[in-house]
Amino acid sequence: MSAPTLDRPVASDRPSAVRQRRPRRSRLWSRTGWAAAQLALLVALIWLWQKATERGSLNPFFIGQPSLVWDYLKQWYEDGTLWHNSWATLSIALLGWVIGTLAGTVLGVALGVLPTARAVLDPYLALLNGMPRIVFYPLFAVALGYSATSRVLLVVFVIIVLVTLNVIAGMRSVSPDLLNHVRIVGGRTPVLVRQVYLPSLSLWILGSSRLTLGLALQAAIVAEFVGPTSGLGYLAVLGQARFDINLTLASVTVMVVVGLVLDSVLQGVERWTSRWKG
Amino acid sequence: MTVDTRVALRAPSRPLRERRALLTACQLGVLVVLLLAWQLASASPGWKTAVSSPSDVASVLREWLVGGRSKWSDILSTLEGAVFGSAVGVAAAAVFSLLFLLVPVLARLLMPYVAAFNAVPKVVMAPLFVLWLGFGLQSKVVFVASVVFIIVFFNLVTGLRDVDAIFIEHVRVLGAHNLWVLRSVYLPALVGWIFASLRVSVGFALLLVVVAEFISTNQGVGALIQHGQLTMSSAEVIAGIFIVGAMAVVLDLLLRIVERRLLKWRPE
Repeated sequence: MSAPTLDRPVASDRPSAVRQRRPRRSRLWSRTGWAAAQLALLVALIWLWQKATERGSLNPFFIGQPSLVWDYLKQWYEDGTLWHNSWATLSIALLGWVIGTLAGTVLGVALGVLPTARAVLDPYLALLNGMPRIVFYPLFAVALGYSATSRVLLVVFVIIVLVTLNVIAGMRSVSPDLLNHVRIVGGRTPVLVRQVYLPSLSLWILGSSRLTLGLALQAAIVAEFVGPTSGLGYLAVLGQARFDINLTLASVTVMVVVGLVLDSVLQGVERWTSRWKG
Repeated sequence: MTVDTRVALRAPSRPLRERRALLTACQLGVLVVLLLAWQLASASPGWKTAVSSPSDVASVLREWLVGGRSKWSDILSTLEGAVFGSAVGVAAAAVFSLLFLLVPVLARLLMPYVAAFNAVPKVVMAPLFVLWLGFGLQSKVVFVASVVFIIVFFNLVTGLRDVDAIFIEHVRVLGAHNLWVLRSVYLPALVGWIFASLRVSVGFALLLVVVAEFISTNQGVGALIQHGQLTMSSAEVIAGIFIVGAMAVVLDLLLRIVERRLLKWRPE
């Protein structure tokens, strides 16, 4: 046995809890293989579900049937229900998210440069942050009716607390050296905000956007559960009220797809903007 | 005159945020101002329907909590749904995350689904569960448990994967076998991650129960809020929201106390 060289792990011949990656002949091949297995699992489950409900070993009235769900989706796609309702939900979530993010940033920066105000308001922010804010929708509905305004307002209300707290945390994380440097060359608070805080905050806001946009979507959906309006959440509750499980399953499917697409877009944006970090 | 200078000497001008008593007074002042503004706003009939008034909300709360129309069964039903649901979800997540750790093939196969479920807006499942399991406690517990399971499970799996390999090497050097590594490295790490994700998910669990009750409108604080909304009684809506908020605060406080007890061994 040759003496262990320094560029290799010394204790590599004994079993270790840290699994060492063996060099793979073709990583791409193994990755496609796993993806195929994962896809096959999903297809097999759906196929089993379909067959079991056809043969009657599972009650289709109770757990639904994939082919009937598919029929709904096809019908919605053809008559435009799909786009109309998805957009109804998405537009509320996006509008509320944009307003909430902007307002939260302004509020957060204001509280960041006014430590006294922040100290006074701190317990209230913590309280609001710990509360499930989506349950406020009925209050907005009583005040403003089942309008787009009340739904956007709910989304704003849900988002703004998180963004504010994130912005405050982001402002604290700015290097004090940098702040002092700018102060020494004569920069006052407005200059600091524009030149130092906002550029470094943009990363924080972007980083939390996956979380906040997901919440915005949930808030928009819950608002549709409560009020008879339109949108995907409304369709799901309609199915529940009519005891039509396939209708509910179809709208849940669309909501899941919308949520996943939104999330992966944001993930891509996040990766693209942080590529300089290496 | 002399008194003034002495006071000035004894209290050097420190920023408000470092003077505890004054700060608390200011915080209470904000609360008083808010309540006064609320009461004043409710003087005009247009605002009254929208925001009710502090005195009306207080009287509704009094009736619900100690008065004739006791709503304790609703309150307890919501609380039970959130607490039992979280407990079941967390327990299942702990078991399955260890299973993932021990059977890497399973992790490799199922992880994309777990990640996908974690990214889905979870409230969308509410109508489905209400339809499947009816309006009772069982439906709430199963709904909350499955969502909490997804959140906590995702956190635990990624957390266990990030356990510092140095710790494992250290106990290995001391002669530890697999079970020992599990007990002395992974389990303590697991407890830390469980609490980290539990404090997030308990608030979320409460939200899920209330949303499920919005839909089923049968029992629970969510049903009370929804009833208030349908009868345009903003006092009842606000009282219900207050109760949900109080539950969230109390649950979070309890968790923090337990967490401090269990994680005493940690530095910092």
